Amino acid sequence: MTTLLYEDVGAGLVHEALPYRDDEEYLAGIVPFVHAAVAAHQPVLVEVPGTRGEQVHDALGLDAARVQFGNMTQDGRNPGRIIPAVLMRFADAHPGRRVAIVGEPLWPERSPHVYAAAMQHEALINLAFAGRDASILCPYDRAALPQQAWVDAERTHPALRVDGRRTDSANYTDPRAVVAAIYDEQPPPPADARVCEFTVVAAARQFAYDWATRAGLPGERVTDLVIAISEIGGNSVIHGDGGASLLTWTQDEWLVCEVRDRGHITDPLAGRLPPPPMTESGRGLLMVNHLCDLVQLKTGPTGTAIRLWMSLLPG
Amino acid sequence: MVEIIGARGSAAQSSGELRIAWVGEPVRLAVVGEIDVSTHGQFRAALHELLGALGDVQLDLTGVPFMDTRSVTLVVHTAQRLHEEGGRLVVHEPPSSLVRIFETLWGDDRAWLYISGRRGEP
Repeated sequence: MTTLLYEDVGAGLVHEALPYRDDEEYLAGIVPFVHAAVAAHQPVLVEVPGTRGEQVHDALGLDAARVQFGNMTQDGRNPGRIIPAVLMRFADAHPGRRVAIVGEPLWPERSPHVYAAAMQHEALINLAFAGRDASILCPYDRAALPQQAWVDAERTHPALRVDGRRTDSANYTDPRAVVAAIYDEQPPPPADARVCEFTVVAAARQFAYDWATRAGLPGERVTDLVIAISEIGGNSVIHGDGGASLLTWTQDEWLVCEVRDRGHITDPLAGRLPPPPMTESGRGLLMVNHLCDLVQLKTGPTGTAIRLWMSLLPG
Repeated sequence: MVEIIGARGSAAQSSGELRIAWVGEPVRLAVVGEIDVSTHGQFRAALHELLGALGDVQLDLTGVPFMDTRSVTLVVHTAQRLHEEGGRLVVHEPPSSLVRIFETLWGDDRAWLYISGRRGEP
């Protein structure tokens, strides 16, 4: 019998990975975390995939009524959306209070294309929540996810919660280094991608509109893609030394496009944190993360490439 | 080159791509053209002229096929300012991009922007 010592949580961020192999271990890791947070009068969010939320809800008993539940399958479809639209939104809704969040961004049925973005998201939690009072517990299905997932969980979480005890992660890696490695591993666009060079953003919008409409993307999703292209293309025109290019292709059931320019985005949290309310700019990439099914940003001194994925499957 | 009929009848020329027309009382601003990085400045200046107006202010976007996030932000900020002064911004027939951006980024707190008439997809 192990004792869970959540009362030793002090100030600041505690970001832990929780390995589990079955339902029993899943609940044995999450339920005491939630009970302790509720007992400490902390706002609690459980954001997990599919029917996992119901499992946790049923296991919590009366405390379930004091917990907010979200479905990560929908809310975290694009991992780039999880920090601004889920985690930070919840934290900002409870100013001045320590929050407790269970967030599970990876599950076995997830498209492998999304894997790197999910790990990038995990790494960036450490920057986005640095100095904030939050406990974020991230369950990892060690039985069903690829072996690499736990290796990367140890690199992206400063702490691990194993058998009810918190330990420092010996393999924790600087989030910026994790992100840089993800940039390096991004495969280049296919050689037969169609290319649109543009200096005015309206040209990129029109190209994207025609392409996505012909490919059968539903009208409202075409609007989403056109908005996203406009945000990125607008940045390219301002910061990218004038010209930029838009590449388009299809991959499995996805429409994929990439905007390339010569600019450099130096903030790894670009598009993940909302700017102050009365600021006029700074919401473009945030909007892109909201609208697209997957966003992959690769940036450096020689240029920036932002790749957008839109699923052709319904739902 | 496009013409702007300035606030309260004064005329101005613009090098942008928007066509902006004012109609007196009640204050009504009608815009024609896409609003993006190439026309933000012109749109911002036109919206600025709305501040200080009394009562309902009408922003007619029937002739605007597309707006980006920054231009929607400008509209939202204008609506907020007017709301603080006891007025109201009523947006007519905005493009689907405005509705999508507004609902995504400000959907939790929309009481001070009024949308009349919505269009289908472009």
